[in-house]
Amino acid sequence: MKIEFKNISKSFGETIANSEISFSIDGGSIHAIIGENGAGKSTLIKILSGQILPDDGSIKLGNKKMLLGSTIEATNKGIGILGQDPLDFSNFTVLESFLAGNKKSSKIISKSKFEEIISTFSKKFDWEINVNSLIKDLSVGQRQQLELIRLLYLGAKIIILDEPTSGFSLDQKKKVFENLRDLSSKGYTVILVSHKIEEILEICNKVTILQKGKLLETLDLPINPKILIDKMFGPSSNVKNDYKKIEKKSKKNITIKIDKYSDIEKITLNEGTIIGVSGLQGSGSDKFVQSFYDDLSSSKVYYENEVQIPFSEINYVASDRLEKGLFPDMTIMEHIALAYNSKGLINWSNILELTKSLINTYGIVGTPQTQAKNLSGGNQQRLMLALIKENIRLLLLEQPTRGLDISSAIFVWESLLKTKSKKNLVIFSSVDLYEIYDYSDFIICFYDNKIVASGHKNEMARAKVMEKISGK
Amino acid sequence: MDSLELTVITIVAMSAPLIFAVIGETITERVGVVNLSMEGTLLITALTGFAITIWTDSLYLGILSSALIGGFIAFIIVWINFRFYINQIAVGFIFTIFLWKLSSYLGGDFVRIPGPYLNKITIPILSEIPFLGPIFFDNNILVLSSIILIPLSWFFLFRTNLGVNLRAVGENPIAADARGLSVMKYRFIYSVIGGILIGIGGATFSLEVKYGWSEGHTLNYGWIALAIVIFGGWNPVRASVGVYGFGILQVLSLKLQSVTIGLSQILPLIPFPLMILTLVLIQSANKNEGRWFPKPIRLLIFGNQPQSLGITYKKDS
Repeated sequence: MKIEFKNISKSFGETIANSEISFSIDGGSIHAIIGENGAGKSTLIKILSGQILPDDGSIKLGNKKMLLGSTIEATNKGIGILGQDPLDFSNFTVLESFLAGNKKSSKIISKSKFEEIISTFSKKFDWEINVNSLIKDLSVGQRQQLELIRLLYLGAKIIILDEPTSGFSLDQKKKVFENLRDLSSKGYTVILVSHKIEEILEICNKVTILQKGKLLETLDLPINPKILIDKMFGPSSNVKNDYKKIEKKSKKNITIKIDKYSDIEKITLNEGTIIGVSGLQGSGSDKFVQSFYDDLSSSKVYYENEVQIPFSEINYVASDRLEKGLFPDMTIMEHIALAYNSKGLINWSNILELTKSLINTYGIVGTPQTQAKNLSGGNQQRLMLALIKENIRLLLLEQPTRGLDISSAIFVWESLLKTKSKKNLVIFSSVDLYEIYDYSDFIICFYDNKIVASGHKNEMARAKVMEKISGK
Repeated sequence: MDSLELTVITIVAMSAPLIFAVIGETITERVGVVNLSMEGTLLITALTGFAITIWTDSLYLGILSSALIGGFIAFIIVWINFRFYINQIAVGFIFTIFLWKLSSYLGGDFVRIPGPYLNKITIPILSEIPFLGPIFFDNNILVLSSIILIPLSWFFLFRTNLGVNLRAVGENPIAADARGLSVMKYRFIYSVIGGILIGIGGATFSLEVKYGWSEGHTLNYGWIALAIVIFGGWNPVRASVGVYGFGILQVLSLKLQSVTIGLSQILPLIPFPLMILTLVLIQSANKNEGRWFPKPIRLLIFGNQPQSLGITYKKDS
């Protein structure tokens, strides 16, 4: 079924998320929507799925106008959405989560019937699942797969994927892509929202580019990736990873204790090293990074003379920015005051000066009075970087570029590397193997909550790392 | 009738209001709404049930009006929350105090009037069965319904698709909305149903347990009910076990009054520290996902609070 967007506009307060967007998506195609962070992709597809009511505009499915702002209408019309984070219920069992909102179930739940349905559908993905296991015990990839199965079972004909693949393992992703191709050949319409250009080129037929809430252009694929990047960020943008490495001046040794996660008791490295912890979602790599901050009994960093880095000189940057990293309702200025003011009273005029200069240095799009929750993901991450104090010696980063587009990601790393010389150690986790290879000196591979391999970057072949983190 | 049988019957009968209230609140909280007005609602509905019964001379009209008032109060709490985005706990708390004061103001004329009460429905022969007979076949309709409500509400919440939908709204309203469930509709309907049950609980107080009306008639049971909901891990069956356990301790203290004077004064106090202790246990079990408990105990005390409990839901933000 053809989907036609006409003059869709939506603003939140002063922020214009979508401005007069008009384009169409062919039935039976795999259509990509791309753009920088804050380009309005998520808003647009949430309008299609009925989660957001637009200020203006209309959507036609086939020849019929759709009632907007109603998820009931959208689900009835066969629109199913696979959210950025799985839209499910962590305390539920697989069966319950499958059944919530399910209009095809009888009033009284027939467990055996749905056990069979779930297993039939999961076979298509070479996947087995116990319907009694709890959602929170599954990996993000498994949860997304369950959601996909549910949408297909309910007869969704238009499937929206909103950057879902960050949680998928390589095998899962391959299977999911295979199935998406198969579905589109059967007449299903697939909409893929992503900022991973290689993914889009792999499976999509067409791509629509959004920029600052406006439609830029819809292109047929395949196309030279360079052209696509230029269009997304403008030709002057520099998306190559040509940062300058700062030479290590000191050669002091530093030791990290890791015996809880490995047979090896500790690793000794040069000061100033960047450690990349590679692992898929749910592999425990994030927990490992976090443990240096909140579980000092199991993971410690110390110098040769057994002196531990004091707690006040450790900074942990969580990947859940709004949940763990920032205070959603507090302004940028208040965050700065919290981080930098050490006296009993706050001198607000000084803090305002400092805030303005930090907003400038870190290129945050916002005013000192902007609340953290109203910043886009990339700007939230920039704010978190701005909060890292000068005297920090151990910097812990959990998925530092999760959900960021290329230009924000590069900015994050540039500013991290700039201050690298002052830090004794940086430890970061990432599901992105490219990021690991681009920025780390030492690589630790995680699988099933254990360190399965570790070594300096030049000793670790990319293929080997990929195997290790997939559990082979 | 021997004394043990009599004791069991007494416990079941005097627990009936708490069963209604606890199950009503469990359903309400499962859909993500906190009805903190429990104590106030119980008081005003206890008075309503009694007063209407005296005026109309109909016990059933009395119970019905209590149910309606209970449902109406729940409706107002949810309405204020959806219309003005005001915190449910704040509104509920104000309602508690308001309704408590209102009940003592309006109830002045009814204090210590000898009042009507529910008759037992006796089924011959079957009522002769020891224990079960007097409970199921020689009891009044409120006590009987309170017992039937326990498995019924459990089955509804955990074995029907509507029950799963309801809990889904309480767990993650954004996901529930994306699946085409109307969060507002679910929260209104099931909070009102929960409120109706709490209202019936109030009527049960004045028409079945403690006939008549006096100021502060419900003995702070509303607050206890709120705690028992947590103790029950938002499961009607486990919560009912808590209600009956509380009843046993209460009755025990009455029985022992004549035996040992010192002990009987301490026994009525026991449920409260016991409740704090169990709440602490449940909380710590949840924190570690219960790993350090043996499995049977874990299953018994492990319970997850609905994730969006008390959180205002605002679509389109």
